[in-house]
Amino acid sequence: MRNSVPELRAAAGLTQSELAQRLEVSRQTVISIERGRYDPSLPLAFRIARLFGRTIEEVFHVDD
Amino acid sequence: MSTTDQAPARPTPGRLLLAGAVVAVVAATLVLTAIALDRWGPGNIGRGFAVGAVVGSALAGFAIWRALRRPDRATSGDRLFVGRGDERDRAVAARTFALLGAWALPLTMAAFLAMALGAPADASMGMLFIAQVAVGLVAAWRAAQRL
Repeated sequence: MRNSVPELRAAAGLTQSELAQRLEVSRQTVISIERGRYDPSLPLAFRIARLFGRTIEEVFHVDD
Repeated sequence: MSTTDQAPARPTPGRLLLAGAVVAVVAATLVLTAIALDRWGPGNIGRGFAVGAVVGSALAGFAIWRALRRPDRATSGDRLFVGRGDERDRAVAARTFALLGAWALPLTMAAFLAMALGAPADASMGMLFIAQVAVGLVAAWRAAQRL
């Protein structure tokens, strides 16, 4: 699954560590999500979307 | 402020007391077990257990120190060991144990086959244990790379 987390994080002026801290996950988890290696759980996806003030569909995109 | 800039959270007196009690109970159990095995166990099993306990305790201590001091540089296993793992860490552990479980049966069958063909039981069991530890380490590394 693709996602816009790197772009949204950069636009928010957050580092990966800062985003990890706000989401209460490890920095490795943020890195994995940004690289598309790890698909977050629905609760974490909601937290990410809410943190950036977006809907889940605006942050995560299904590969077609 | 980033996570790595943060000072480690100061543990509460209650948690420190609990951690100290757990360490004391584990240490006493290991020492008593080593003494009992040395006195009543076959061969030099007591010394072997003592060496294993010291090495295991040192590795556990290192993992705890790393996970508590620098959680961002710790591995998923380190963080899970101290109860600070997140959902990706749990996914890494699940994949690791799934692969280890899939390999456990054929490895055990190989050990039984070796013993049936005349291999010494203690050596076969030792090799089985080493093989399972190796599979676990490789599985954990692969899972961490892929997730």
